[in-house]
Parts: sequence; C-alpha cells; structure tokens
Amino acid sequence: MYYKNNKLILPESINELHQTVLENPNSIFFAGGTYIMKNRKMFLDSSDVKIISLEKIKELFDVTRNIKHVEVGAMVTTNKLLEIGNLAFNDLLLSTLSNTATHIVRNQITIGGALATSNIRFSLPGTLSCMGASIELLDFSKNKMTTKLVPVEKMYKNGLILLEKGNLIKKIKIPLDTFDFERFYCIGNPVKEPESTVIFAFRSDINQTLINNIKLSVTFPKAGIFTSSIVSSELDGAEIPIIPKSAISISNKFISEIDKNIEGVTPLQKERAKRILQTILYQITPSKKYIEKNY
Amino acid sequence: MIKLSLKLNKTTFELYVDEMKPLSQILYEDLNVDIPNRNCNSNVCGNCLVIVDKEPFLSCLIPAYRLQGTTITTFEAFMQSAHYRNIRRTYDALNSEPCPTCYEAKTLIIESMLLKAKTKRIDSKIDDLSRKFLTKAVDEDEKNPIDLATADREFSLNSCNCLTSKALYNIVIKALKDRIKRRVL
Repeated sequence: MYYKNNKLILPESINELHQTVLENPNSIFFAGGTYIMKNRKMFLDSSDVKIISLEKIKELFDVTRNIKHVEVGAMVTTNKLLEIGNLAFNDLLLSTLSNTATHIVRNQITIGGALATSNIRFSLPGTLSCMGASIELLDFSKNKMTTKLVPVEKMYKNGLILLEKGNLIKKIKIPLDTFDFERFYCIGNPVKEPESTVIFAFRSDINQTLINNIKLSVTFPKAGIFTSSIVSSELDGAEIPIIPKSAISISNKFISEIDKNIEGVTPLQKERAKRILQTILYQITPSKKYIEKNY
Repeated sequence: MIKLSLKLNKTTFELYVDEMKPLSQILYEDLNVDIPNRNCNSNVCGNCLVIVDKEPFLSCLIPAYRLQGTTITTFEAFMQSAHYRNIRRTYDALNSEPCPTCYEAKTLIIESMLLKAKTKRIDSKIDDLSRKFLTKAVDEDEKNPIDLATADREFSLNSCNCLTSKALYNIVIKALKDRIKRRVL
C-alpha cells in the first residue's frame, strides 16, 4: 500500500525557486529521482518536508560551450551528455558516463543529482575532480541569491558532500582539455556493493619518455573521494615505461596515504586500489609516434 | 493530489493520484496491472520495466507527476508486436530463454538494446552514404554493434542470474541479425 506523500512544488524559474526555498526551508530538491525514489523512506514520514522538483526550470537544462569549457546544466541527463560525445568531452569522461549504471537508468540520472547524493559517492564526482571541473552553486539561504564557483574536489570531505542547506548546483564547468593518457576503472557495483567497489580515474600527459601533469582520484562509495598528492609528485617527470619495482613502491605509498587520510576503506578496496594503480602504471608507455621515430 | 491523464496500452485513463506515487504502484493499485516484484521496495531489482514514450524505464523510479500525457506500454501489449515475435523466435532458435520471474524484464532489456543498436547502425549507414561508400555500408550490417562488455553491463540491471551474460549476448546478436534479415523496423 502506498502512503500519502508530502507536497510537491514545481517552480518554473530560478527566481521562483528562490522564493520557494525561502518559504520552505525544510525542503528536498528532486532532480532525476533515481536516488530519492530508491530511498523513499528518507522523506515519506517527515510531515514538514516539501519536495521541490527542478524539472520545469529551463536554465538547468542548458549545455553551452566556449573555447575553454563546456557548461552543463545540472538537470542534463547522462545519456544526453553521451550523445554530445567526442565533440565536447574527452575519453575519460565518456567512459565514466558509459560505465554509470545501464542505459535504461541513465535516461533518468542527471549530472547534478549524481554529484549531490548525500551519503554515497558514484563515479562522476571522482572523474570530474580528476579533470579539474568546477561547480556553480546558487545560494538561496539568504534573501539575496548569490552564486559561487567551487572546484569539484573541494565539494566533498570524508565521503560527505559539503553542500549547505539551501544551496543548489546550477551547472558544472568541465574543461575541454584532453590528455595523452586517460584511464577509468570501476570495479564492483557502487549501488549494490558499496563496501567493495573502487572507482579509479587517472590522467597524465606524456612528453617523449617522461610523464607529467598527473592527476588521479579514487572513489570509495561509502568512504569518499581521495585525490593523491604523493603519487602525483612521485610520478611527475618519471621516465616511462615504469619498472615493476618502482610501480610497487609507488602503489604501497599510495595505500599508506589512503590509510592516513581516509577512514572506512575496507581491506578489499585497498587491495583493489593498489592493483588498479599498478595496472595503470604498467600501461603507460611512450606514444606510438615516438616509438616509430626512435626505435 | 494531481489529475493524471495517460495512455496505457492504447487506452486513455484519467485518475487522481499523489504526485510522488511511483508508476509501479499506480499500475498495480489504480490500474489493476500486475507488475512483477512490485514489492521490491525500489531496490532496483530490474523486474518492473515498462516502456514510457518508446523508452524503457524502471517503473518504480518514475513519480506520477512526470507521467502527464505519456504513453505507457506494458509487457502484455508489447507481446502483440512484431518486435516481440522476433525475440521469441530467437529464444526458440537458440533454445534458451529467461526464467518466468525475469522473462518480461529481460525481454524488455533485450528490446531496448536492439533499439539502441538499430539507431547506431542507421547513423553509421548515413555517414557512409554521405561519403558515397555504399559497399562499406553493406559491410557494416555484418558487424556487431554491441560488444559483450556492454551487454553484460546492460543485463546487470536485472538481478536474476538464470542465464549467463554470454547466452544473453548471443540472443541479442541473433535477434539483431534476424531483424535485419526480415526488415523488422
């Protein structure tokens, strides 16, 4: 039997939304609904909670592109982004999107919703932080609406999103950069097995036989996102191919860095993260053009 | 409460429902349509698939207010189509089919993959035609536009393990080839 729900509000513009949030401070934003509909208990029983659907706000569906960035509205679905494809996004983001759930569910997953889930992290935030994307936030908590731009990696701490009450993700600014070496791995299912899943995003540039401009982020759905600084500094300027001895030493340092900085990572996740990093390090080789020229 | 107007299997309905009531429960409680595993409590078991405006969706994840003016096709109506007969023929030819629990859901997942593959195939054909490589366009038909990894991921939506991913993949490829041969569009 279905229990009667709380009131739904459908604002049609950002200004109307601002007014709605001021009038209903205890409200939940409803984007694609894949997470909220799955966890209906989180809002069914509390009588004063209102649900604000963002479906009719046209500003949140825009995708615009300039020389440096693609700006994607928070309500754009992941399947729509995949349709844009290589015209705007690099392989790292495209493989992340195509590995997110199945295409039936991707019809409903919105990019804003994927970033703003309250207590579990999926693959998209890790990849976006690896790419240096930033989020445009609207602050509705005061009478005057304000906008701020926050890098994705600063939005999360200890597995939780640092999104204050009354703040809304308006759009995501994704840089148009492409990298020489990009890898995305998702081992496990973040929805069904969050305590054993590891999501890994890695990118670097290759300059003849050296690698630089390295960034990696590893996501543990329950524990949070971790961006390693030790691995980046150890690998920056390293000669490739990387020998097994140094790959093992770097991956061990990476795991000890995870131990120090992040809580709630299971031993299986650590082992998986270590092996994925080693796999990636063995895959980095000089570009085909360089090999053809010099060997 | 909202006044909801929708088309279910070619019949138009108007009903008053709560705005956030999921489609799976509207179908069962208000429209007397039995959806498998309606009591999975939105645990994304993948058994409650329906076709909303020609796109497959998990009915437990769609709230009522999004259904205004939509056309919903359940598995019962889908069984009358040529697309279903194509998939049924493939089950018989390969002598493998999903178990009764997940039969409807897996068949609709196969259908969604075939629809996606068809779009991909037509796109590549148009590209090639524009470059006047007609022979290449014909060759493209022979290639499989779906790989095993994609098929494996798509079938992970349904939690039932009655068939291996390789067996399901074979069904999709065989059904696709049959559709091309018989020109089922």
